Parts: sequence; C-alpha cells; structure tokens
Amino acid sequence: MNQSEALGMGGGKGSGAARDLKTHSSAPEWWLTLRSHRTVMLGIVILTIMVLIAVIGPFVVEGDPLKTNLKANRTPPNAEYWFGTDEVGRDIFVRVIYAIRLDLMLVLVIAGIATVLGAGLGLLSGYVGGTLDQVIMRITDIMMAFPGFLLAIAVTAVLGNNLRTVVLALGFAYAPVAIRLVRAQVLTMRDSQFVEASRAIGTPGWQIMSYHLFPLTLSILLAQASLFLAWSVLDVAGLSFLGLGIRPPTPELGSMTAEGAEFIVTGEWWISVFPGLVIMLMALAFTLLGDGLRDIFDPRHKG
Amino acid sequence: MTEPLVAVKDLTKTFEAPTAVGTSTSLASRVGGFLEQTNVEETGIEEAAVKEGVIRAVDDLDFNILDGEILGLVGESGCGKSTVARCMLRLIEPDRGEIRFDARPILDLNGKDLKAFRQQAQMVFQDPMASLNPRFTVEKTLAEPLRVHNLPVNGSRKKRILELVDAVHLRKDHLNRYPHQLSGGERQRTVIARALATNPRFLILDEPTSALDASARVRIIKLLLELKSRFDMTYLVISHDISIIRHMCDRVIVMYLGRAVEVARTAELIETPRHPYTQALMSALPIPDPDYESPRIRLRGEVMDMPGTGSRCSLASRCHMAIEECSHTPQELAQIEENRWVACHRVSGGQI
Amino acid sequence: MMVDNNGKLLELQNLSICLDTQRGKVDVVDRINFTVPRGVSVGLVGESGSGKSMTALAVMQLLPKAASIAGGRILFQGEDLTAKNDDEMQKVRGFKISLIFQTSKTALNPLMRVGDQIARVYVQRLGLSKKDAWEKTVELLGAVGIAQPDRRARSFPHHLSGGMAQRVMIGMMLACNPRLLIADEPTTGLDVTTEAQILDLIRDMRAEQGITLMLITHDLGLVAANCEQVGVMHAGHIVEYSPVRALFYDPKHPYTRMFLSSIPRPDRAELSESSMVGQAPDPYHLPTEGCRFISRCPERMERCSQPVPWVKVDEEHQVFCHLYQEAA
Repeated sequence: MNQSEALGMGGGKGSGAARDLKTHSSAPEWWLTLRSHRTVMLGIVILTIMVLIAVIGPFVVEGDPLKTNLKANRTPPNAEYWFGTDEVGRDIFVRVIYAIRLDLMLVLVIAGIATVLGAGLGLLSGYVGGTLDQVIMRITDIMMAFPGFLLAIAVTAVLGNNLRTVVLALGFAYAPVAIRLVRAQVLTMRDSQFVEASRAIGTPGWQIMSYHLFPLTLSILLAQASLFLAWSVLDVAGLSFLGLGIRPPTPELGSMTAEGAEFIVTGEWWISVFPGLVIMLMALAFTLLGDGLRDIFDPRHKG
Repeated sequence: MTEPLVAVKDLTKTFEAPTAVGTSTSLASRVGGFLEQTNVEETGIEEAAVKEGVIRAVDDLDFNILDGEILGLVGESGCGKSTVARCMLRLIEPDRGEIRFDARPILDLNGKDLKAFRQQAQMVFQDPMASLNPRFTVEKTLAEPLRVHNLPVNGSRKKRILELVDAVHLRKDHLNRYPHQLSGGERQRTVIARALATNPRFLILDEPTSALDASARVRIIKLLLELKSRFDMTYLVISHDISIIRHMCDRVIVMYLGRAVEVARTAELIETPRHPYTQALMSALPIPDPDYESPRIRLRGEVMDMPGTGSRCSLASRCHMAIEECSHTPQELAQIEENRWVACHRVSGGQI
Repeated sequence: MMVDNNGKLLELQNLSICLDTQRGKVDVVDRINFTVPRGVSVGLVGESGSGKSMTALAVMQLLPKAASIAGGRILFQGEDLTAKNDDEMQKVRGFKISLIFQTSKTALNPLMRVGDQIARVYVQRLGLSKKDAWEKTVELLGAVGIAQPDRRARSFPHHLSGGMAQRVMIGMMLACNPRLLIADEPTTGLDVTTEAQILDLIRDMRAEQGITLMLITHDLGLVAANCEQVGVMHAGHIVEYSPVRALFYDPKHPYTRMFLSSIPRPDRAELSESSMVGQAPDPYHLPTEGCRFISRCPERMERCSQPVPWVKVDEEHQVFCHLYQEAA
C-alpha cells in the first residue's frame, strides 16, 4: 500500500503481504511449494523417467544399438521393433535408449562445467571486486556476444572435432551467464550486515564466500543449471546434426535425427521423429524445471 | 592514572558522497541537493555551493574508554557514531588518527595480530535480523566465531555453545531454529551470544534495543548489564535512545556532525545539559508523563553539513545561542568542570 | 449535511478483522469498540502485533488482500464505511480521512519530482489547473516548514532527509482538508529532534484546519504529549480506554500497568522491577472467548476465560477486564 492509495488516488485496493507471523516448519517448505507447481512436477516426472531409462535401460533392454541387419532395414514401428529400424537395420528403440544415457551424461557435464565456473568466478568477482572483477566482467562481456552454438562451432573448427572439445566449448560458452548471476547475488549480499558481522568476528574472506555467500546463491544457481541442461540438449543435438561432436555410429539423439532427416521424404518418418521427440521432451523437462525453480526461488527468497 | 582500555585520537574519516559504503541515507542526502538549504538572512552566511564532494563522517575525534566502564555515544543520524564503531573494529579504515587497544596501536595490525584483536573486541550490530545469516541455525551462527578462532582450546565446542545459550537465557531448543523462527528478543540474544563467543574484553553495542518492542527493551538491558559484570567486560553503547543510555552508561559523549560536543557523566548530562545541542536534544525527548513540562528548545532547520565547516562551529547556523564568534571559529572541546567537557564558545567562555 | 453521531467523528462498533495466512486464519482484531470524538485527539497504543495498524487500514478500507473485515461497523460522521464500495471510499480518502504512516522514502515515487507529486493531488482531486496546483504546492511546502520551497519542489525524493519526506507526506495528506487525520507511527525511525518538529507541525496544522488526530503508536511518550484520550490495544482487543492522565496515573488494566512499568525512561535512573513478563500470545492459538492476556496476567482468575465485560469505571474511562465487573 502506498501513500497515493491512502490519498485516494491510484488503485483503491491494498496490496502487500500479510503480517509477519512466526511459523514452525512441519513438512519441508520446499517440498510443499514444489508440489504446488504443476509444471515443475511435470518436468520432474519426465526427467525421472529419463534418468531411469538412462541408468537401467541398457541393462534391461535386449539388443545391440550398433548391430546392423540389412534384411530388416527401414521397418516401420511394429511389435518387434517398437520404434522401427533405420536404413541399416538397427533397432531405433534400442539406440534411443542408449542415446538417452549418452546425452544425459553429456549435458550434465556441460552444465556442470558452466555452473562450477559460474559459481567460482562469480563469487570471486562479486566479493573481491576491484581489478579482478573488471577483468572477469570484460571477458564475460566478450563471450556473451557469441551464442553458445556458434562459439562451439568455431572452437571445434579450431581445436578439432571431438566430443571433448564440444563439451568444453559449450560449458565455457554458458559459464558467463552463471558468472553474472552469481556475481549479482553476491553484490547484493556483500554489504549486508551479516557479512559485516562475519568480518567483525574475524572470518577470512574465502570462508565468507564459501560458508555464507555460496549457499545463498545455490537456489538461483540450481535453477540456472536446469536451464543450462535444457540448452545443452538442444545445442549438442544441433551440433551433431551438423556433424560436429558425435560421430556415427554412436547413437546420439541429434545425430540420429540428422541421419533420419533425409528419409522423411521417402516416407520413413520414424527414423527421425522418435529421437527428435525425445530431444524435445528432454529440453522441455529441463526448461519446465528450470523456469519453475526460478519462479519459486526468485520472488520468495531474495538471496 | 591508569591507561585507558581504548584510546582514540584525532580520528577522522571522510566519505565521498553519495555512494560511500556504510553511510546512512541521511549522510548521503546531506550532500545531495539539500546542502543548499541555509538560513541566509539569520546568520549572514552566504549560500553554500553544492559540492559533489566530501562528507566528514568523523572529524578529529578524541576520547578514551576506561577499563570496566560503560561509555555511551549519543547522537542523531549522520553524527558519525556508527562510523566511529566501525573504525574501532577495523571494519572501515579511518583516514587519519590513532586507536590504541590495551596500549597497543591497532590501525596497523594485519593477519594473525588482527585476528587476535578481533577475539578481544567484538560488536553487537544494530539489526539482529540483518546481522544473522537467514539460512543458518542458531547453533551454526554461534559455531562460526569458535571455528574461526579455534576455540575452545580445551573442551568441546558443543559444550561452549550451550554455555553461551545459557548465558543469554535462551533455551537448548533454540539451537535448531532459524532467525525467522525467533522473536525479536531471541534474535537479539543470539547476536549477543555470538559476540560473547570469543570471550572479548570489549564489546561495542550498536543500538542494542532499537529493533525491539518497548517492553522487551528492559529485559535486554538487564541481560547486558548482567553479562558485563559476569564476564568482566567494557562496553561502548551507541544509541539515539536516551533511556537506554540512562540505564546503562557511566559516561556519555554527545556527537554532532562527526565531532564531540559534550562529554559528561550520564545523570548530569541528562539533567543539566550544557551544550546547546544537548539541551535541544534533551528537551525534545518524549517523556511518558502527561504532566511533564519542559521548555522546548528548538533548533532551526535540520542536520546539515556545509563546506568550510572547519572554520566555524558546525551548529552555528541552527543554534539558539549563537553569536558572532561562532561563525568564525570552530568549536573545541574544553573542560569546564570536573568530568564535564563542552565544545561551545559561550559555555566555555563562561558566559552561560 | 452530514449525519452526525453525537459529536463522534469516528466510531468503531464491534469491529473484527480476520487475516488469512498460510497457517490458518487469525483474528487480528476482535470485536473492538473505539471512539474518536470530534476535536479530541485520541491515541491508540499497543505493541507490534496488537492489531493497531490493521485497524487504521480497515478504516480507510485499505486492508491487504489477505485481510478482511469479519464483522462490525465503522461509522464516520454517522455513515458506515464498511457499506461503501471502492468508488465511494475514494471520495472519503484524502477528503474526509487521511492516513499518514511510517516515514518511508518509498512512499514517494522516486522518479517524480516532489512538487509534481503534490501538484498531482491538487489537479486530480481538487480539479485545479496545473499552474494553480504548482502555486499551491509551493505554498504548502512552505507551510510545512521546508525552506526554499520552490527549489525543493523541483528536486527528487532521494534528496530529502527522512524528516523532510515526512513533512511532504503530511502536506500531501492535509492538502484536501480532511476532518480526521490518522497517523500510524508517523515518527518511527526519525531522530528525536526531527520527531519533535514533525509533531509540532501536526499540532499546528490541526489547530489551523480544525483536524482531529488519531495517533497510533507504541511510544507512550508521544501519547503523553499529544493525546487527550487513549485506547490501549493488546492482541486484537482494546483493553482500556481513558483520558490520558488517567492512563498514566491510574491505569486499571493489568496489561496497561505492566506496559507502563516495563518501558525504560530517560527521566528515571533505575530500571523498574516488574518488566513485562513472557511474550505476546501466539496469534494462531488465541482463545476465542475470554481474555487474551490471561497467560501473562498476574491477577488472572477462574472467570477470565469467560467473555470479558467492558466496564465503565469512571467518566470516559472504560476497562475490558473481569476484575472490575461489579457483581451487579
């Protein structure tokens, strides 16, 4: 409620939160809020399924993702081949299962690199300030001028077309976003009284960063990490679509979609569509999770 | 005469406005547009030009704190008292001056020595909610100083934490609570317990009761007094609330715009203030007694700083007793009685 | 013209306010009765959580979304405000009743010049032309004691000190000449000397314009100096309502007594022995009937859990307590 409302100008309805009343936690609060967000739950459900597939899929499913069977090639989905076979007769279903595992691992590593870099450099930059901050900020400025995808292409062109290059390139490309995010958080907290109190106690700077500040950035950081996961799914798929990163015959969702693209015109839609759908679902799930987490954490907990 | 526990000399700290770290908004606004506000006709001072420049938060301050005493630092927003506290604990570096703790200079300390000093001198910050990490339980908060200084030397940390909790009259089940689950008074006690963790000799209390309800204040005052005698400490109490000062302090320093204007024993200061600013301050106090009457001494305008204050008394443009001389010479603290120091030309000149 | 109400400017009859929180409903105000007679400055005193601010918001029909009036009436000059819709309340706010609250720079729009914000009031509510509005604005700033009002009107809120900002707010709130001014903690956070100046200003403007003051605060010193009649609030109940002298010299309700004796005072050196015991009752577990002070009252009796009577002990002095009920 502000003064102009009291004066009778502007909106007549009051707004604002209810009074601060002491609460005692029963069920963990984060679980309660999580449950009330439908979209987040949907994302979690999808992800859980994918993780399960990734972990136990290859053990449960019979079949070799690399085994070709030219006699049975281009078979549409049926009882034996649930997703059909591709142009050399490989079981697409089996390949998709293995691809999910590979892709999940890749995106986790990429998001992991970006998040760790983001947290570390963001904390340093925000807390220490000064020249270090300036340097880091200028570097991130430059990097953020390029979309991750293009950066990865450029890097693989220079450093060689292999999986490690792609992973590192994407990880480094995303990092600036996390660095900025963490730095912004740290800046709001750096001059707060509890940090000052810690300094007065004699806590050294690095301990203040790790012990106090880092845990407080965790919630926002995790939300961003989910979004990194979503971006990497699409970027890795896109890069392998272009032939960068993954080489055939390794089953990877993007490359499978790429290989199958030419067969759509001849009517064999299943070769491309199934892996494509999985990419979409994965990206969707991470996005829902990330957006939802950000909604939950941002307005409720300021730092 | 024994060496004071804390000796401050020529302490000066200047900020560049308005984005100085640690200044209150009123300090910042002092340099903003409203520096232009003057009483031109009354004092004959030419309109001051606005300088995007310098705030003298603390200006050549001298004082001592004796071992075992409770000294009060009183003043309104912008007088510099919080800055003084932070300089004393090396949270801000002063521009000039000397601070001695237990006869040793502390402004040059670094590393291990600085850490050792921090063990001895602690602070209870103004806002208990803001000075606690919202994600830390009480136990974790109290563990921090112990961990940082590797205490206790003998014995278990948990036991020491329980001792601290007990000393401030909190209960064991408070240990698992988060700040937002505590009442204002409980938070205040947590912050006090944390400050006691390293067994300091000297404690600065910055507005120890401002965040509390009226009825909780007395309990905290009593607690602080009890702790002081139990653990043999020396206090510096900073407050704008004169009742707190009355109940706690042996001596008081009144600050205005970074300078000390009056120093006296507490009861004497409150009952017979000599400096015009102190008089105005005391007369403005709301007393819970409808029959209480006292002549209101009004100062003109609001607290404001003006460039060139070094050459005149900083209160001159507002003072009800100002004379010609006040606009030409800066005020100096002078002893007018035993245990009474006043920085006013007219008072020290024996005119009043 | 207006339906009067025997000289009662504002009268709260059995007013109840309910707050909806994550953990349940809370009766923040429970069937209170409170009167502000015309021309008599009345104080409403209580600690945080007592419901006093909610009461002020209710009068203005500006309660937050989670709160609502659960019963009772609010009579202003005889008319029931609870029966009015928002459009009708717009005519009341600022014109008949004004509310100022705790000084806050954020109450003023930081992106607009100070003068523009005040002038807006004149244009929008009083229909003045922009030129006339600006003139009146400068006049008003001068009247509230701001030096160089013309220049000040052209500056932005962040240039103002806390005291000046509060003066501006007061000016704005009084621009439309209301009959009742509700001031909710108008000086909390201000320096003592500024506080005194602000209250002087309010007093002067009241006298000039014939405005009645309702002062809401936790500070008994302010009440002593500014109010003629006082209501004491505790946990959603008004426990005592008396002339100001009677409150300080002859308090009847045990809470009032405890409150009075528990505050530190600059004019007394020793701390009182009986400081406030315990803490404010848990708002989620308040008794639905009976006294809410029961857990801390040194004089509680068996029948204190029964509905509490509102007893008249003297001329204009009433207590909400079983202790004083005559066996009549």
